[in-house]
Amino acid sequence: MQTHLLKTTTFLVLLIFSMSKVSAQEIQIKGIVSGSEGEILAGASVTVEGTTLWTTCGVEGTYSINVPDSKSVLVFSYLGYKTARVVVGDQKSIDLALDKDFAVLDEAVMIGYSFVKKKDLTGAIAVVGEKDFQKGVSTPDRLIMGKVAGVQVTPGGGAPGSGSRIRIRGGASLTASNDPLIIIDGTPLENSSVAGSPSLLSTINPADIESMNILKDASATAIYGSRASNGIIIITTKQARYGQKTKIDFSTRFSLSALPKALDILSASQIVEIVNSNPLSTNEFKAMLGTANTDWQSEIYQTAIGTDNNITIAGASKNMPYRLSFGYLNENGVLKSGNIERITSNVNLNPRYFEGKLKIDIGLKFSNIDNKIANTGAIEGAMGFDPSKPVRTNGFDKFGGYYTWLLNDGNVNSQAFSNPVALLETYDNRANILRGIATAQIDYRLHFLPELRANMNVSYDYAQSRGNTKVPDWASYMITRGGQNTNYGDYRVNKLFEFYFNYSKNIKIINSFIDLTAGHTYQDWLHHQDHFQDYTADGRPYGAAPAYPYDENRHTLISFFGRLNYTLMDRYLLAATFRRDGSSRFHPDFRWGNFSSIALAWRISEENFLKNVTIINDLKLRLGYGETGQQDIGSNYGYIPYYRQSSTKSQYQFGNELYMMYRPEAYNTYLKWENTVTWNIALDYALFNNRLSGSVDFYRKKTSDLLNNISVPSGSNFSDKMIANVGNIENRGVEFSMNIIPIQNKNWTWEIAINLAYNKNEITKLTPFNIAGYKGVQAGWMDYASVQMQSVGYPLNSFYLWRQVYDNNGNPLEGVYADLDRNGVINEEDKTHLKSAEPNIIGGFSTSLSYKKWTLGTVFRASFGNYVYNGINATYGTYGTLFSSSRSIVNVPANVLKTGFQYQQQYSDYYLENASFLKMDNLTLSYDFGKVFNNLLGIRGSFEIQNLFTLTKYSGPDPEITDGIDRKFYLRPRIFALNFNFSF
Amino acid sequence: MKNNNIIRQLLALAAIFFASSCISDLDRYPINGNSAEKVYSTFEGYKSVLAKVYNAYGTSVNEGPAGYYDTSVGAEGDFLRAFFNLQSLTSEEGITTWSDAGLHDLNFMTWSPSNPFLAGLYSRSLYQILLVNEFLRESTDEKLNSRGISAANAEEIKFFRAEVRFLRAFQYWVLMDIFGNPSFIDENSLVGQQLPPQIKRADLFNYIENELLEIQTLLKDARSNEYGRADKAACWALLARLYLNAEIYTGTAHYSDAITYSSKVIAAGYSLKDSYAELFLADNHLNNPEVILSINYDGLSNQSYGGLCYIINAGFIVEHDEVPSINFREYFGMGGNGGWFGNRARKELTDRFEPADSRRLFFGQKASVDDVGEFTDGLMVAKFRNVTSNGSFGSNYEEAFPDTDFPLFRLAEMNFIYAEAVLRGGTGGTMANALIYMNDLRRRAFGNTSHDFVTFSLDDILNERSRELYWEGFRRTDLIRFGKYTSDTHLWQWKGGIKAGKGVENHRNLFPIPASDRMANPNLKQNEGYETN
Repeated sequence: MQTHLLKTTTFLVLLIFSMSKVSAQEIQIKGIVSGSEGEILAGASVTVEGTTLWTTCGVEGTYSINVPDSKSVLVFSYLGYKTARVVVGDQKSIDLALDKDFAVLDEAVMIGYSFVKKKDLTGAIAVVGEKDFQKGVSTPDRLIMGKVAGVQVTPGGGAPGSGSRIRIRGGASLTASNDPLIIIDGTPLENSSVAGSPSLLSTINPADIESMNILKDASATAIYGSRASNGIIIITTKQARYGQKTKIDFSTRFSLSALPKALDILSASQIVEIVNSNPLSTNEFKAMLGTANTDWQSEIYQTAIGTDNNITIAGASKNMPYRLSFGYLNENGVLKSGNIERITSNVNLNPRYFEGKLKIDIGLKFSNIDNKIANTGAIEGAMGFDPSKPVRTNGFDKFGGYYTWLLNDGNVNSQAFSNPVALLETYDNRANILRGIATAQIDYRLHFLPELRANMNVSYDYAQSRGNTKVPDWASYMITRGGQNTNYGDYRVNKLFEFYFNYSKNIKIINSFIDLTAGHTYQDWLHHQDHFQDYTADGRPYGAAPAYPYDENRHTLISFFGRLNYTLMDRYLLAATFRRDGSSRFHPDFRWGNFSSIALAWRISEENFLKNVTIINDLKLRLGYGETGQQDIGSNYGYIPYYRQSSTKSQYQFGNELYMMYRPEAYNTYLKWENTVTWNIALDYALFNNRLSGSVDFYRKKTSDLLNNISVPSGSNFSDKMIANVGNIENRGVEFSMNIIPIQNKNWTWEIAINLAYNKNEITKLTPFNIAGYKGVQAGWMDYASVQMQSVGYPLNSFYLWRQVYDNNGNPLEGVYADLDRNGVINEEDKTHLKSAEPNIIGGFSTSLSYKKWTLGTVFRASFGNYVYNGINATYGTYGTLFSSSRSIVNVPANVLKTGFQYQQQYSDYYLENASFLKMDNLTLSYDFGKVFNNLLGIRGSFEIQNLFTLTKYSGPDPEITDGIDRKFYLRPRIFALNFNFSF
Repeated sequence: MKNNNIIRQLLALAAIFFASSCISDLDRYPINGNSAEKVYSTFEGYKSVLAKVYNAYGTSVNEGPAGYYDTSVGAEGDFLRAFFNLQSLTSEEGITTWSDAGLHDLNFMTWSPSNPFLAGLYSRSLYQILLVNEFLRESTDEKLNSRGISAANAEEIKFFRAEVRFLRAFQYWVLMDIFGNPSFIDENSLVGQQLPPQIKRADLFNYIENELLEIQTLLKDARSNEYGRADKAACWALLARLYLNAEIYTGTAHYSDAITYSSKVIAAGYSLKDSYAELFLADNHLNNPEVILSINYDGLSNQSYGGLCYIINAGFIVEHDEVPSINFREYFGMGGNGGWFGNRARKELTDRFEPADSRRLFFGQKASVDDVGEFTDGLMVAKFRNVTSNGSFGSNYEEAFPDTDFPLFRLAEMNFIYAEAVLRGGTGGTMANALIYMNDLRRRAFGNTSHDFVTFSLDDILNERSRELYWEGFRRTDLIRFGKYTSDTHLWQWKGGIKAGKGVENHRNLFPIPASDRMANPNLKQNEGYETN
């Protein structure tokens, strides 16, 4: 077998060798090909137009080629650079610098385990390069906000370093994760972070990122099998290029953040008036009124400063391109006392040996975050604390001077709101997060068979957190437990081993290009969670000692995969992938799954009938089909039966003895991943010299074996509810993107990028068999009330409420609802499905206008059809809350003046509001000073404003809320920033 | 070529290594999890599982007070909380101010199959049965042998087996009494996605009866087992209760059997505790000759927000406007956030007491419940408390978790069963003894003989049971046996949802099969009268 293989390969090698040697020898041309910044382009191809003559550049960028005559035309090309054509004439030596080519079809795109030229893409893949990123963000997820059709990035909050919820083409899951798989430099991450970490990607410095590729349809993602249903984001960090001159960049940023809008609550004078006049008031309440006029929201928020500094050294020493970067970020939160201090470092070494046949890519990422977490309880407190009370006053020395609600006996009134300033100032929660990601990729193009590459990829990702929360024992809100001294900490280890072969060959005789990949990956994730004894401020144990000192959650994924790319005549493309995944999360009998995809593309513009139509640069029709899975189901051991030991607070007494208990746990042997089938049909276009380009995609995504938390029959398992694969869900949509360059001349450049996506989502099945009267799964919890219902026939996260009845003046009548079943009683049966929290249409609009050295850029984002339940108004906006049984005055949203509601009407659709919005995310004005000091130093400066304005009908401060329920939300600040870049 | 060879060999090695040996890495197990083999390798392991089987009717958590609930139903799936709500709040014994989903429907007898407490009790009872079945499967002679359990320990484990079968019979009695025709599983039912079949009420009666008759010989002798564990007397007591109500369950009366088994308990050496009030205090596990089987709590070591913690806390308010002189947190021995002001008595219960009756443990002045949402409408019940007989607090006053144990079976009930069975024509007993048993209770209540019955009627028994056993989970069953639960002639305030009270449909003598279970299990037919729900 092996000899046979050897023979075959030898034959192939000889064949190829003989083909490239067919030539007449007329004129010899020599030269060096480089990039415009002097980087050596080893491996650049040099061909003689109209012939089969070709060669490639060596390590120093040198080439030598024989051409038939002086009329011959040499074509120089290199991936990522503009192709150049040169007529030989009487030259003997031609040195050439190729210009970098942005956003062109020859750009190499990382699609998972290999690169493909953009023009040869068959799947729905969006590429966002550095140039198109959102400016001035501190976490990578926000770089692509509003930039890609069908990708919804919803910022999670305003805390420094906070992350976002990313949805690609709507959610496909009910109980499993809807987050996309994120891969950084070849390492797939787990989508949860360590405790105290501001967010999943907060340890990655956005300044180190070169590109983010978003794989949307299954034909693109299926190579990642059981983790691919929610799309994939491939993040590539910056590297130096071969032969690049040493370059040092320094950037610095100074920012000011402030809250754009506060909650609309009652003022001190309004409270006084209501307490003195409202019929619900009593003398007891009147006696509670204070004389101060405190705006608690301005007491807890601040204008926060921040700075972000990055230094990068990139260059190449001999065979070794290197890039080293260091970042230092320090940001205060707009909520006082919050701060994040982050040091990041990224080292990429990319040595090449044997004329580039052996490539080694080593990446080392390191980050250290000191996160001081503000007590977000103060946000709710600032809303509810009586504004007629002062922040500090005499007589409260034992609570640090902070005004505190007391009972008649002088003790703290634990049912009243705590002083929000005290909540901030007495709460000291600090976490230190360390993360290191080391990756090594060895790619060897075999000497005896250069078409064959062997690639080995090893990576180790370690993240740890150590945190502590301290509250002094005199802090009023912790006085009963004697203050707090709580440690927490965990670490995560993510290991990857990957190996694959890639064979690619241009077979000219049959005008074909084939590219075959086959490989194996092994990935293991470990989460180590320490359990600590909780202490009071003075070091006494509080609560039970933990039953176990730590817990470890681990899961492993072993996969085999393959891909075939076939291109015929440079215009008919076929891509097929296959993956077999085995996951430790499932029972051995149900552990292995196969996922495959196929895609076809037709580059119509390469057909003869269009080839000469000069206004069309590219026109491509794509068809894709694929199966993917979702195995991020929340539990690693759901199929295993085992016993859980009770804690010391759950022991049973027999005789005079107490006995710890062993409890058998519920398990589902039949658990498996969710399965999604996607169809995609699309058209890519580039017209007018590439000045108008874009895509239109239509897709349909059908998820089956959807995990739902269903009631299992009592007595059939050790719980009444169990996650089981029982449902179906469907997403359908259209995506549209367009990049326009209306003006491009010597002084002016104007670029516009527009994307728009429509998605319709519907749950089609939720239970194993048809059950009359089954309404669905309660969802959308606002305290103890569920305001959403996942039901068959409706979109995910549809609100489920009573229909409010209004009087003739359009004011809501308290407690009066439409009696939908006309039985005279308002009950569960009268609730009805209303709009969903998920938008129908999302879009982004980016534009930049350059005049000479000035550039003005802006990014808008829009969302339509998304509804938000104003939980703050619904929960607090009543006179009953103001005059509660808590023996204190509670401030409430000003909305109470409109409704006049006495008691909570949490299920009224009055509180459901259309939260469609248009946001201006960013406005940047930059100036390029050019090279100064004898061309030694390049300087660029910019001024930017983030989160400028929001147009919306929504009555709350911000309509952009991840799950459509407005709770006590850390609002996103408006940021003003000044940036300078220096390059040496 | 030399380099190539090395690289090729390395690659081949790597491929072989990762393709074969690492597949076994897909077997990952929880490090803090305990497999059955590990748990049952020692006698102590068996006893710890037994503790869980018992405590399944004590709390619904594995890490008290609110960590690792057994089921997602959470606090509503607490046995005593759900059992109390269904047995007492649907009668004149109690009414709640709370408006949590489903509670007012219990107050007003307007419940539907989706009432959370129905699902709570149904799943809780079957959960305990499931634990019993698992224990029985893991404690067969064969398994004990193969695990090297000593002969002496194996003997004790045989008693465990009889006890858990008793617990299963008890929970099937609960299911039969409340739901009539529940799901049925035993140790031969496998855990998994198998849908349990439904059993008819009469068939279930036979099953329970047979089980109890069989295990009465396998259990330890009366009063010889550890406190908190079932013995022969508990088995007889349940048989007596079963037979007293047999006509309701099967249409065939078993009053003579009721006399037989209540007599066995009475003859087993139990006696009434001197002080009625002390039966329900924090130290009721000590010097208690009356209680046959109790659900045990401990303020420090067996905590939950259900069970007696719920019954006590839900039943008082810290500062009662009509009784300003008493700090009720201290009176009930429940500090912390004690005093949730939910449940109190309706007028018909509290009016039934003579002032001199020591069982009249009420506070407040306004007996009439004019406003369901007003806690001080209706008298506050101070029967269960977390203070000891000498007046000190239970072990965990600060966090308000009681030490008080709940009497599941006590002698007083046997006196009533005997008397009622005799009066209803059962043989094997005498009216003279019946009168003695009734008057024993009267004398304890009043401290003298001046309130003795000379004769008594069935209605006297029903009323006396109410005075003696209120808030102990009997009332609904008793009213049904007397045909008064749904009737429009025996009314109480807010029965049927109106203040004056009105009768309700007869099918409400049974609760419906919970909607959530019917949805999950197509084998379950709805009870008569609820079909359209």
